[in-house]
Order: sequence, then C-alpha cells, then structure tokens
Amino acid sequence: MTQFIKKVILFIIAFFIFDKIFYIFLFISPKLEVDKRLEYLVNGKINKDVVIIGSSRGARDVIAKQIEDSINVSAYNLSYPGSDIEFHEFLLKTLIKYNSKPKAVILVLDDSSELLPDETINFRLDRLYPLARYNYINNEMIKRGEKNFSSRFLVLSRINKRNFDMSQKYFTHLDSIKDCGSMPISFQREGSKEFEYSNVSVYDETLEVPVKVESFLSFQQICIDNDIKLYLVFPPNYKAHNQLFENRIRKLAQPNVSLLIHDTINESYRNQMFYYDELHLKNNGAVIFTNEIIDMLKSEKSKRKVL
Amino acid sequence: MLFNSIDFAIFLPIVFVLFWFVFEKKLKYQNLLIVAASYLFYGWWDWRFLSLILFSTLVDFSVGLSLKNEKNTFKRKLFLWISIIVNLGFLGLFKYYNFFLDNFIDAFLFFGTEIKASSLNIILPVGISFYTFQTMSYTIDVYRKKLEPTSDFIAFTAFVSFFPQLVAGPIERATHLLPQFYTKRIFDYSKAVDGMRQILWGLFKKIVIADNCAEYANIIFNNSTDYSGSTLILGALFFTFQIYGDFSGYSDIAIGTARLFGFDLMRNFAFPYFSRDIAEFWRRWHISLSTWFRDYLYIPLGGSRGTIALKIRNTFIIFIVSGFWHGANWTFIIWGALNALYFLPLLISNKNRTNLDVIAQGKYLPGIKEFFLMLITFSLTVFAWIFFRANDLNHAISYISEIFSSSLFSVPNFIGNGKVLIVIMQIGLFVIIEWFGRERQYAISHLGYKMKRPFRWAIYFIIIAVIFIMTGEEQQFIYFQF
Repeated sequence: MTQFIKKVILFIIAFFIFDKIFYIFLFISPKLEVDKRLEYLVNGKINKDVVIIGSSRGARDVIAKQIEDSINVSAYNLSYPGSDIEFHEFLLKTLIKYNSKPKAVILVLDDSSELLPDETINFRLDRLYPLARYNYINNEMIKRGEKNFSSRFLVLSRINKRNFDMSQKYFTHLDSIKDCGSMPISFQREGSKEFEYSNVSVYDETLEVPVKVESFLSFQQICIDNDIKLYLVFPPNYKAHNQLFENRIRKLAQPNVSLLIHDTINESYRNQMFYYDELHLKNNGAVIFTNEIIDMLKSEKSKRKVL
Repeated sequence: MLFNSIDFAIFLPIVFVLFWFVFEKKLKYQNLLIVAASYLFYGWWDWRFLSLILFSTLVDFSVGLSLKNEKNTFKRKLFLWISIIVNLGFLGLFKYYNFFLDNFIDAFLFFGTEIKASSLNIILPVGISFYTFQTMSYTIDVYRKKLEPTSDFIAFTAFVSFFPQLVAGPIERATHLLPQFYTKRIFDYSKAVDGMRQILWGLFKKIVIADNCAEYANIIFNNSTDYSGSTLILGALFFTFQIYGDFSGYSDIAIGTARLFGFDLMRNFAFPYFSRDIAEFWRRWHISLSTWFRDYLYIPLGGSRGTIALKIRNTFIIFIVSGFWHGANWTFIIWGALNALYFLPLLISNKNRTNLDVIAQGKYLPGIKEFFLMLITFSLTVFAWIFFRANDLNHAISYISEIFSSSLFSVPNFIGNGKVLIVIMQIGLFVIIEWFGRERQYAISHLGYKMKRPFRWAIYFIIIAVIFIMTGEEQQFIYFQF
C-alpha cells in the first residue's frame, strides 16, 4: 500500500513537471492572433475617453477614428462581431479593472435581439482561449464553467485545442480591424440585392433571456458606479425602426443613461447602397451614423461637460 | 457524479484513503463506507431518488430472507413475484408509463375511439435499469437456490449501490459480487496499478473518442435533412464510435475503480467491433446485459432447445426485450428486432457459436475472409445504430432513405474540415490500439509492459496530455439515460 501511494505521488509530481512543458503553447498562442484588442485590454493599453462596445453592428457601424478627429477626444472601438451583452459586460469590467476609466461608453444595441435568444450572438469564449495564460482570463473561463479549478495549477487543464494551432492568423476581408478598433466594410454582401426593406416590427418581452437582461442592467450599474457616461445607441437596420424594442430599452434604462436613436427620417438609411446587409452599414453608411453620434457627443459635451 | 468530472477526481482519492487507511480494520466499516460513498455519489445527481434505491434494497433483502426459510413452493413464488413486481414496477412507472399510455391512446384513436389520459411529468432516475436488474438477479438466484441469501444488510446495500457500477453497470450478478463483500480485502499493488491504467483508458475512450465523435454525430443526426447520403453515413460512423467509446469507456472506469478497492467486476466489452458475425458481436457487446437476459429470460423460455420456431420466437423475444430495456421508444424495439433478424440465419444454420475465439489470434493482421466477415458485421451494426440514435422511427426512416439516394456518391459535407479530419484520425489511431490489444482485457493493459518505468510513464503522460488537449464538448454518458 505504501509503495502504491509513493508511486502515485511520484507519478503526480513527474506529471506536474511534464505538464509545464505545455506552457510554451500558452505563451505563443496570443502572439499568433491578429485581433489583439482583448490582450491590450488585459494589459491596460486601452486608455481612451470614449469606448464603443457592441457586436458586429458596433464594429461596423461606428468609426472610432472619426469621433477622435471630430471632437478631439480619444476613442476606441471594442466591439466584437457575434458577441452578446454578457460579453460586453465582461469587456466593460476588464476595461475598468486594468485601464483608466473612460469618460463615456457607447453601447451599440442589437435591434432587436439584444435581450432575446439569438444563436448568432454569444459570449465569445473563442476570443478568450488564446489568452488563457492570463489568470484573469482563466478565472473568467472557470466562472463560466468552461474550465475547472485545476486549470489554476495545471497547464494542460488551462490549455485548449485552439492553443495548438500554431499558424499565424490573418485578417479576412470581413474582419479587418482599423487601428481605432472599428471594422468598417467597404462592399456589399454577396446576393445583397435580394434583401428588402421591412416595415414589420415585433418584440416579445416574454422571450427575453433573464441572464441577458441581468447583464444589461449590470452594464448600466457599472457605468453609474464608476461615473462613466453611458450612451445606448440604436443603429439603423434596413427596416423600419422597432419602436417596441426602443420602448423596452427605455423601460430598462437608468435615468441618467442617454439614448440615441438613429435619424429615422434620414433617407440614406432607406438606401441599400449604404448597407452591407440588412443589419449592418457599409463604411459610407457608418460615416453618416458616426456623425450622428458625434453630434450627440458634441451636444452633451457643451451641455454637461461630459468629455 | 460523473466519472469524467473534477468532483469525481476529488471524491475517488478521499474514499480510497478512507477505505484503506481509516476503515481498513473491520470489513463492516469498509462496507459501510462503500454504502455512504455510493449514496453520496448517486445523491450528487439527485438525492431524492436515493429513496428508490433504498426501497428496492429493502424489498429484495427482505424477500431474500423470507425465501431462506420458506419451503412452500407457492409462497416462494409469491416472494419472487413481489421482488419482480416491485422492481419492474419502478421501471414501468418511471421509464415506460408514458410510452404505453401514448401508444394506447394512439391505438384507440386508430379504431376511432378517443380516450383522454394525462401523461406523467417525471424524470427518469439515473441508472434505474441497471440496479433493478442487479437486485432482481439476487432474488432470482436465491429463489433458484443458486445463492445463499445474505443476512448482512450492510453488505447487501453495498452490493446494490456499489458506486463504480451503480448507474451504468456492468450489471453484476449477486453470485459474483455479493460474496466479495463478505471477504477481507487485502490491498494488491498490481491490481491497483492495473485499475488505474484501466481508468486512464476508459477516460481516453470517453473524453477523446466519444465526446469528439458526439459533436459531429449530433450535428449530423439533428440536421439530417440538410446532409447528403455520404455525410449521413459519416454521421452513423461517428455515432458507432461514440457509443462504443462512451459505454465501454464507462465500463473500463467502473472496473478500474472497483479494482482500486479490491473488487473484481465482470468484463462488459471485449472489442465487439472486431467480431466476425452478429452472434460474436453480442458475446462481446454489453456482456453483462446479454448474459443477464440469457440466464434469466432466454434459458427459462427454452433457449435454443426445441423446434426451430421456438428458437426463433425466443431469439426475437430476447432481442426485442433487450432493445426495449434501452428506452421507451419504438426505435429501440426496431433496433432489437433488427439484431434478431441479423442473428436468425446463424441460428437456423446452427453457426451461432462458430467464432468463439479472438479474431486473428496471435497474428498481426486478419485473413482476407476474416477481414470481410468483420467488415460485414461492422456495417450491419452501424446500420442498426441508426435506429438506436434516431429521435423516432420517421427520423430513422428518412435518415436511411437519404443514405440510399443518389447523394450517397457525393463527397461528404465535412471532408475538408480540419477538425473533422482530426476526429477521423483519432478514431483511426484508436482502432489500431484496440486491434493490437484485442487479446487483452482492455487495449492498453500490456502497453509498454516490458519497458522500463520512465518510458512506460512517458506513454501514460502522453495519454493524459491527449485527454486534456483533445477534450471534446462534455457529454453525459449515453447509458445514464437507460
């Protein structure tokens, strides 16, 4: 029995040493990534006045550089295509934890799937895997049940199949990130001629995902607690503005949170030429919409000296 | 508690240390610890259903004791039926009630009568089919006077709830396992090491093979109308390896865990996909269930004695009941019937016991004939698994129809997907390891046996690393639902 226990302990120690060889993969993995925004965030390199957070709509429809140039503030776009409000909340927490607090945060809403079940937007765990060497990131994965506590001391438990992909990642024509973090697109989706302007607006509050609603409320609360001005932004879609969704957001919005609804009578937003597809603007459309945000920020700046 | 969870990784060493260092003085204390650990293990999933296990234990223990002193044949039969009715009653209520109800409603509707009845909104207790069969084996063996009934309640409770095999087998016979709770256990170093190795291999099968195959089997089966016939074949193949890795992996972990505590559990899988005919497949697949049905159903029905018609009847009964045991769905019944059909030619031609040895024993490769026989048996098995995996009969039929359409000759949808190719390579490597270990209890039991410790350990390290690295999306063990 004693011999068995001794062997088991020896085996565990030897394995513990062997396990550390794999640290090399954790170390190399972030270097191969092309989107380094999250790593910048964890390393405290996003110290900006205005930060834009959202999903693909935030990434495509808002150009941070244009804001910087227009109102003389620093701005950065932290929007991730395919991300949901839970991921946005995580980004905001990380931003505050490791960087100087922004003066304003622009949360670009997904009309109308922000709080509804939607398979196309989720917590972007795939963005966290390459950064597993950071304890903060690993702890977040543990919190989300993606990893267990053994990942705190075992590299193999912390590592993911993705960390073994030793190829350098490159931008695709859809995912090119500008220095300001925005990802505008200059072309239309293939087969885009098929999409039609829709006047139908529906919103069913009963379908909302409680966790998403909780995150949405928490997102606002974090901004309030940290004295960050929050703007909830409704970007245009190639369809009529959804008043039901707006009403729901108004109901959930805290009193000192500002809402910006795109100019619903602007004819450009009814023109396909300004869209990549039904849900995302092309760069020419993004310029128009970013100007609306700039106007709002300017007005806020003069009124309340927010920025 | 799942074997492939961190909870179990903590639970097992604690129980092991308590078993061998704290409770080692008295057998009764060790048995008591096993009962406590087993109830904790099961209660981790849902403590409410512990009462079912306890009730089943109490009934069979009492029936056993009553049978001990009873000479009257009628009363003996009565006691036996009490046990069978209680155990099958639980199964019937939790597993089959809604199935029978729905089918009765449909049948009446077919004849123009609408009946209204509400189905039960109940969850199926994990492992109920396993422990009820295990306790029934005790009562039946006592009734048949093959086993002395026990008067040690703790030992009997430990036998019924023994945590390594409580929720998914192997379904132990009382004649084999119960006496092991009476005898003093002496720690056996080589047995414990072997147990650890078998646990390792079981984890590999479950986490690397089954869970990775499950990812694509689920995608293909759940969206079967979107895929070509060739892709559907790929889906069926993925499921074939998923179910084998999942269930035989569980059995390996169960047997290995039991060995750590000085117990021997029966073998449950013997490389079934290397079988040359269906009869051999069924001697190698889920052995504890097949032999249970053989001993307690097939032989009492007359077995292979009597007329051909009787033999055919018995074969269909055992296969259909076996299918139905897996779940309350027509797909399982058809799966069982299909296997009976496969078995029939062998039975009629009296060739069902021709392949009793291991294929290509002592050789590296099988002969051409053996290879083709193995390929045919494997293909038949893959085909039958489609029914097993399908959501319902319509799904199975549409799945099979699409396979036999012109799209069968197209390139499968997933070829070119790097991740799928990695899974296919994993399966290939796994089959090779299994092939070279097919004459052993489990594939890696002698892997690196003659090597020096550092090299042997290096192999284990690599297997553990692969388990960590290739971890697929965690899936519950398939057989938990049975």
